[in-house]
Amino acid sequence: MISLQSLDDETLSFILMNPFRIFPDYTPEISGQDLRELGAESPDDISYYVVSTIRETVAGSTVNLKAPLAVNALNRRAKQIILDQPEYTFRHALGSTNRKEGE
Amino acid sequence: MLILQRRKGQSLSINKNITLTVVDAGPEWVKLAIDAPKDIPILRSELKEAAAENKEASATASRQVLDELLKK
Repeated sequence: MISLQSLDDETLSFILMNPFRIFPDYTPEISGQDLRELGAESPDDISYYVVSTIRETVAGSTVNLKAPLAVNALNRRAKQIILDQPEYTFRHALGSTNRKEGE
Repeated sequence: MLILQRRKGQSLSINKNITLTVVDAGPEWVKLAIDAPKDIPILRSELKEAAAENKEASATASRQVLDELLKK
């Protein structure tokens, strides 16, 4: 888990997760326009984080697979993108997953 | 809810100052041209949904759940 903290507003932060650890089959397809905005030449240059919404219980907590943060590690540019893939939702239940052993 | 059928190139007016024109249409999408005053916000609905989800995600996370997740 990663905490994304706003520098302008100290009360604003998000809990991010590595989606591939929780959902090994996650395959975000970034659009050409988003790639250009991030100054990336290839989708391989992009790493992804998903925003989680932590509720009272783990079972009720969700991750946003529809709108991940796409990060171009080469130039440190990032943006939240919206995937055109109907299989991913804004509120994917976290409770149904388990991490692999050793993580 | 009002449902209208329009063909490519046809348009409709909303409230005298907004015109929607169907520019093109495919089997799974339509391309719309929207002519509206600058002060009228136009957002793809999924953006609105994403913004609402972000707002909820940024609300205070429960310490207890975080601990539980870290143990997993």
